[in-house]
Amino acid sequence: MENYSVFTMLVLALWGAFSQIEFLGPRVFQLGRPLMSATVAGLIVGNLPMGLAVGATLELLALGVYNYGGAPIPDYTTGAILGVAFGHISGLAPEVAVGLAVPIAVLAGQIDVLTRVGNSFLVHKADAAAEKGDAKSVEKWHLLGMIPWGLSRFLPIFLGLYFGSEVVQNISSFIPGWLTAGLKTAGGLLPALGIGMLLVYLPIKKFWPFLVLGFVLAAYLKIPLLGVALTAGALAALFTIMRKPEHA
Amino acid sequence: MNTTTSTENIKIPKNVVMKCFWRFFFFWQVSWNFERMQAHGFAYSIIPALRKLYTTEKEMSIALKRHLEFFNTNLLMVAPLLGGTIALEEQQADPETIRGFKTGLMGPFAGIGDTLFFALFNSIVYGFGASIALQGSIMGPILVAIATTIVYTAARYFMFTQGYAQGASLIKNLGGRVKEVQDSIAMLGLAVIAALGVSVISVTTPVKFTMVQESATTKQLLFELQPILDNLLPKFLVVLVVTFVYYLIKKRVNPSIVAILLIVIAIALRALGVLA
Repeated sequence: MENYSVFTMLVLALWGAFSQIEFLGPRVFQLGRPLMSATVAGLIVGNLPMGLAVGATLELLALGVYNYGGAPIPDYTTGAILGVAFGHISGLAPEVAVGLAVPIAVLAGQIDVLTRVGNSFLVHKADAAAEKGDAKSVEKWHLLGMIPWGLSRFLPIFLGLYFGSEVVQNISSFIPGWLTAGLKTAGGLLPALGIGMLLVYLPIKKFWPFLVLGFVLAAYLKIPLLGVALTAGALAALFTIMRKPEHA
Repeated sequence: MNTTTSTENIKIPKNVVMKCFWRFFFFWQVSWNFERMQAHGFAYSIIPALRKLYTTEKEMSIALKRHLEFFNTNLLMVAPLLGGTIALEEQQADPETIRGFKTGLMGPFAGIGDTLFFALFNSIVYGFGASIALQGSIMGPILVAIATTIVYTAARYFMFTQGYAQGASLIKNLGGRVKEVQDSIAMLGLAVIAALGVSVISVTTPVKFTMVQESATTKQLLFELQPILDNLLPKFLVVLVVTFVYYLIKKRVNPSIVAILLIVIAIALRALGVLA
């Protein structure tokens, strides 16, 4: 099977760079989130189902994963884009593509850390400008940050596609049945990571009855997600109303 | 302090204040680094206001250095802090007050914002979006994009203008309301996340026991493990896995390691026939 055209590789790499910058800046579409970056990657390579499947699974895996306090995390943006791209060109099942995307995200996360460290030089330039009261240069050096940040996604994606596609394709022909089946199982398990992480960060001790409520509604009564949200929302509103002094 | 010796403050025109907002909105973290984090973005955003207040190089230099000091908080909670700081600068507040305002609030606001917007709001919205996407519909990401655009833009705009209007007294007023909103969303979020977990995590076991009954005609009794577990507690294995992950994260195991671990366990147990 052929590799992607250089043009497609460029588009995918630029998409990665753009997603990251959108995520650092306006973050309205939150394009850095795997669901978003993978879906568009799927559109770019012409395989939307792959994009949606890989994006959704990675998103659930990373549901609560954000740079809290600036702490570094795996780069799921790059992982998602390369996972979709490799998955499509090698004819992999989505679960296998996810299995690829996770280690890629961890690796790319290292490049992300390097970028965060290296960008210090930008603020040092700003310091020097501030010394002279040169606001214009302070502005300039801030905006120039888009270059290292953009490259931190562009380079891994482009180079990964350029050199990696062949490697991945050769690997895929050797993938044994038990590995494919195992990765399918993994696809069902991985969302537990995102859910589990969230539960650590959320006020369970304070509001655990709602956790139980959601579980019972979904597991026993098999009520769909929106129904659970409406029920919980109504109860939460009720609780807030009852909590007010005039109702005590 | 600006060079006006009169007791009147220089008033920053509304369009300049909003220029600061849009700079923050579009470019807040594009120079993020570990050393100063969001400080450079803060300086970049507030410069239009500083230009109106400080006309000499010396004054501008002092102001620039002030706002290049370390700063980091939740992206959306920057809004009230930036607005409030502009108000303080306009009111010729002394540097210590401004510094105290920024550094004192950036921590707690980060906690509030991260929980409210990232852990809760994002998770609910993306949980929905992902489950729709898993069914093969692009409406998942589209609805998510619409929801986040509306909420993230409105929240920042509202909090910024409120921060600017109220200045330092904003802390009191914002504080009470935020707590209520946060609690309500936490309650909703926990229920939705539990339901989400039940629907998107799939763990079942194909394990069967056969018992041979000794009698004239050998009878084989078949016990399937999964239905037994289901009778005990529906989605029992899902609860088990989530609890396992929960304790690993609580014990500060690196999430990347947990991800790889889950993959390895899945492959192994599938090969052994323990998991489907």
